[in-house]
Amino acid sequence: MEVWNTLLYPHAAGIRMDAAEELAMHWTKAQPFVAAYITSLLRDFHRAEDVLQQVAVILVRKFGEYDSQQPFLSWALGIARLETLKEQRREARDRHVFGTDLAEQLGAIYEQMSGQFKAYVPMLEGCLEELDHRARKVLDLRYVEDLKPAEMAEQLCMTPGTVRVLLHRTRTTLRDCIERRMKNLGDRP
Amino acid sequence: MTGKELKQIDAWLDSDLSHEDAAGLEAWLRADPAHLEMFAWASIIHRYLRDLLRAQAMTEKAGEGENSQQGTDPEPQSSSLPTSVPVAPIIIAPFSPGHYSLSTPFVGSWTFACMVATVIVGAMLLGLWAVKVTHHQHIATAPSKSVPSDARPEMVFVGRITGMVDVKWSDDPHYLPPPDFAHVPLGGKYILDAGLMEITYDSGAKVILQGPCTYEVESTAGGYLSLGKLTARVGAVEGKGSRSKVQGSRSASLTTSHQPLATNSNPQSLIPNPLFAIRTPTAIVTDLGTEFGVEVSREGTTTSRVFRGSVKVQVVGDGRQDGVVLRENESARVEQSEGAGVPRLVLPGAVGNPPTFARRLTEPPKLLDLLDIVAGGDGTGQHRERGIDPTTGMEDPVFLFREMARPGERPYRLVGWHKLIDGVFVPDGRAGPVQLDSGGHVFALPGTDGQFYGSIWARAAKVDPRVKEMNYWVHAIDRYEQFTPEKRGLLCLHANVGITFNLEGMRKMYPDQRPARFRAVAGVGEDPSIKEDPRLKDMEVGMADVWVFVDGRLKMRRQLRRRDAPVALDVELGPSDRFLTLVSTDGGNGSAFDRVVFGDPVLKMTPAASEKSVEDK
Repeated sequence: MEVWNTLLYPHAAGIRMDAAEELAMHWTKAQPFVAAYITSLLRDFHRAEDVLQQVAVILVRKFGEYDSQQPFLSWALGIARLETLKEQRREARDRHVFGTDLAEQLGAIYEQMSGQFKAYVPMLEGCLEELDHRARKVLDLRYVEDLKPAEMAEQLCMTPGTVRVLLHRTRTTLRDCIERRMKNLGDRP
Repeated sequence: MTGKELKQIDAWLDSDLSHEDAAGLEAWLRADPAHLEMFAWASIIHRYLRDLLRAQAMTEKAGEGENSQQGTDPEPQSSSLPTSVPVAPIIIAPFSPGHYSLSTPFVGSWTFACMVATVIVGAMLLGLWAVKVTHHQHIATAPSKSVPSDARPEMVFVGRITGMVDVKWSDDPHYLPPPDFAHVPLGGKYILDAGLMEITYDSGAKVILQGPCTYEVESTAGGYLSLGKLTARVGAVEGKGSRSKVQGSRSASLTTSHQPLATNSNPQSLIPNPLFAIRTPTAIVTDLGTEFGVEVSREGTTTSRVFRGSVKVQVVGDGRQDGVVLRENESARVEQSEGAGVPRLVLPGAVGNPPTFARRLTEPPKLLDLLDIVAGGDGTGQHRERGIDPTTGMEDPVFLFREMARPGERPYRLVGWHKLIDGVFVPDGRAGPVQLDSGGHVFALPGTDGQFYGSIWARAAKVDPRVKEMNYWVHAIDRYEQFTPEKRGLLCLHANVGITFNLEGMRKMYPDQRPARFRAVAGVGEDPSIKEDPRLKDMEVGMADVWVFVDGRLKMRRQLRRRDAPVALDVELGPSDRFLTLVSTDGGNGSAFDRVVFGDPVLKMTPAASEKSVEDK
């Protein structure tokens, strides 16, 4: 909530209006990649939301220290990596955690790929409309209801294995669809 | 990049990867930056799906809320903006889902322009119509110069067109065919080049014209067949003595040159004639309580054949009133004489091969397909891949999972939208005897766990592989062929569900037939994942009972296990039985994997009693 209030009432947070606008502009572009990065390491949407919010708070607080000559995304991903690491330390030890070096490499990859993702991601909306009812139902259970495959299996009267296959195929369909649409876009004169 | 790694990435994102597999994935990611790119790509999609689908879900909820509050809560949205945003960190969604609002771009759009144009054109047409109607009304109300309005003849309707099959009307430019299923006026003339048409007189008599054919309705109880074939069926329904009248001009055909014979009452009379009669150029065939066929050849020869009861055949112009009475399965022919002589009657037995007649518009079904019925059909079609919600009795156009039931919470539900299905229910004997049909029959079924899994579903035998991959248990059944030897399909009735078919409704829909037997192949289906799951391998899951009831009487019960061979079900149905109920219950060990199917479920039809004697002959 602090981030929200800061952006609505920047003067109250001691940030100049032009700086607040600059931060909002940078964050708007970086937020999806930071969110994806944190989610890919933590794998739990709720915990990822918490960390994302914490990252946003830190960005607001430390925005005065940001070197505008450096990419904002790189700065934000660096903070996100540290906050995610803190969160991972609280995780149970029986869960696998990627090494910090791999997490760092991954951050660099996100940064490199951010340009092309901007073009790819909006295609997803159109591709979702191509899915049939059942595929859409599976996605809703996974992403809206936040159910894990085993829980989804109970609801769908399927075995968990079948749900995993279904979920994987649906995602593959979406990924293929985006690539196909991008290719078609590229083929246009 | 292989599918295996992509699967592992998906599983990682779902927190569904074992420690060992996760370590393997990490090693794979370290091996090549391209692998990291693939991982990042999948993660971005994963995250964006979350944001997009949740945003869509919230938008739908907000829309529902707005709809329900419309007109009652005029509070401006802006006042609640800061507190109504559900998640704080995402300040501005960069790829927000598309929404359309009535903003300036819409007003300036082609869609808006088309709507405006449509409204304007509609208003113009309405205006023109009003002018036209006013003009016609003026003409209609103007007194006729030639005929006084009080002396205007009336058009009398004596029946309706009640069925047509592949009818091709005469292409004579002077002939105006009637509209489909129109009222039949006295004097109405029907000229068919091909096809079948059924006229039902108000008296209940039915005539099926078989093209090529020319027939004229000349009384409330008969007509003139000048060419072709017809079948008349009289006496099935008592004469109602009703008729419809509208103001209009009396048909000129009442002054036709075909003069009705003395044996008939006046065809212009509105009093129903006592006997139904068909006139032809050479004969009069009068019903004596029967079903019969008449054919008139181009030469004017009339051939009559009796299917049931008897008729009287008289020769036109011979001056005799008695004629010849034909009985069941007898035929007679009246031939034109050479020259101007009186037609000649060829007596029964000398007719040779009588012509064949169409006695029904469509052949009565020999089987009723219960899958077609469950999927919304009348039992004679091939409807599939639809179902019924066992908790409400409503149609399910897609297979839907539903929550478990609690004892006593699920009463018998009537299926009002389908004449051939009486109702559905979720049986659970823990709450006492279970109602099986709308006739109030109950049965002490055993207690169940009250759970069921999804719709009552009519599955096709062959399913598109893409559907199979994306669907629920009804499409994941392994070796389904064993349950559907006739390749009709499967009635999927997971344990703890019941459905009752309306046998009486079937007799009404197919009056000449009645259901005589119920046949199906029952079993418990399983999909490959059950067989491969080591945890389920030795467990006694997939055990269920199937029950068949007729009017609440138990006719058959079978216990089924998932590895058992299919069981044939065959139950005889009586001529007055009203309900057929199929039930599946769990075997007392819970309903998990009790995927009961009834393969190729059909009702074998047989001619109703009155028909049977004729058919046998």
